[in-house]
Amino acid sequence: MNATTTEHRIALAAAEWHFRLREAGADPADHAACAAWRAADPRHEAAWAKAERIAGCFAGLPGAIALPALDRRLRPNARRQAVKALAALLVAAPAGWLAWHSQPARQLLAGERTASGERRQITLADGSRLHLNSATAVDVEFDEKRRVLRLRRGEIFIDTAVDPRIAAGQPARPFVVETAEGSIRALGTRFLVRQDDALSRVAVYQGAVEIRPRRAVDRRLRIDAGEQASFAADAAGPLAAADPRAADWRDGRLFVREMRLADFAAELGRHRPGLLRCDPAVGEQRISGAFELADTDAILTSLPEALPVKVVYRSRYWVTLTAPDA
Amino acid sequence: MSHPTAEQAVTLLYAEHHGWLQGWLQRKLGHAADAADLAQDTFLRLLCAPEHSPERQSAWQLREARAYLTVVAKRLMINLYRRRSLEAAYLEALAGMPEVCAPSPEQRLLILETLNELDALLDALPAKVRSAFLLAQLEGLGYAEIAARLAVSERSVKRYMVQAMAHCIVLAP
Repeated sequence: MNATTTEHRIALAAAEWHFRLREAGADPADHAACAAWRAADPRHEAAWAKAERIAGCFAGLPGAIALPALDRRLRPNARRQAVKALAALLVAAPAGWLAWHSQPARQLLAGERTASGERRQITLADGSRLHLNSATAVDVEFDEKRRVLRLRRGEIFIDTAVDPRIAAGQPARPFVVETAEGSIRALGTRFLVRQDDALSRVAVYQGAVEIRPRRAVDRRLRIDAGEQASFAADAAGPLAAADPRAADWRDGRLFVREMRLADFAAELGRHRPGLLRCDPAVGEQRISGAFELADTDAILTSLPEALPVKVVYRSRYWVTLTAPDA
Repeated sequence: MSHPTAEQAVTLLYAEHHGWLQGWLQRKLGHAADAADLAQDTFLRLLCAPEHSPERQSAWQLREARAYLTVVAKRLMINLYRRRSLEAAYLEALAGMPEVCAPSPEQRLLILETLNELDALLDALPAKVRSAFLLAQLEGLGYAEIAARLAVSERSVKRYMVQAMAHCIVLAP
């Protein structure tokens, strides 16, 4: 687009600011410069507001119907991917589509996201490594004082780096992960954080972390390497031994030993779009094994070979594990 | 003699050219009902033209009335087919969803209306720019992932995002 007219130039500037401030590396200087640009001219402010509104229109849409509809030149398998992603997101939402404008909408706007069945690793601005598990949404908010990750949904594994600012003679910024239940402050480490329903789970593999429940900040709990614990908004749970296999998803694997089938279905369901239900009649059976997460369909196909269960497909993405026919 | 009002002028145009326009559309589209609808919509569009538009300012004294009308009709036609293809893709996507996850009928209409507005905004964008923008806004994909999917550089993706958003800003009401 040619920036020949003033209107176009202002629109381009507004668009540039819109995306600049959403990048992981955006710092307070950027925010201040943007604010100054906005204040300099009412047309700047108007263009900025339009950008926010447009982004908001998208945020209110269920991605997997909207994407194939709006991007109609997509290839068929890409369209199916889009539908898959929506099914998973809606399953997580509490009360139907209306819930879009609350939690899930914020999840849609999160800085880094993975769809169901997708896992990803990224390097953050300070050199820390962040692994995202399936169906995860996390905001990266590094500023002058702190390095913050806001886990909105799902599970992440963090390998923190020493704050590069130390080399410049500045104090190291604390590294903090915020969940719905509170905050987890890293004390130089490798650790796993998982956001469950009204519960956050943390396992430490190197170094230590300190948990602070949101509503009981004095009930801090230190977790050292080899330990794990869960916490709710007002209490931190007992320490237990860290499950060394809990982070295997980074290699695309799920390792279980003597796990209840009902729990296995719940766990596998996180890596798969749609619904995976387990009939209580078969839920107590135990399953063990190492499973490749890249192909959850294959895992389901293999289940009846290992256990007396039947896999019922109501549709490709609505699967139930039941007792085999008598 | 004073100038006719805008409505009077459009009524005159209607009387003189509506029949001809409908026939022209029917030959072009091969579809009588669509031709009738589009012919009506063309004159409606004239009636609803904004105050400051030059044609309205000159009380619809058009030098080449039929040429003008066909331009308006063509634009409406493109819009109609765009909207139809959007609806078809939308319905197909809905059909592919598990029943339990599908939005309710009222919500479906709301979604479709939002989609239509966005679709109109994005219409003129080149395919890759549009895809990149949609993948970011609807799937939340990072630039690296989009670059891989579209076989372009990350720098290009960044450019596309800005280009698409700026385009929407200019066109949005």
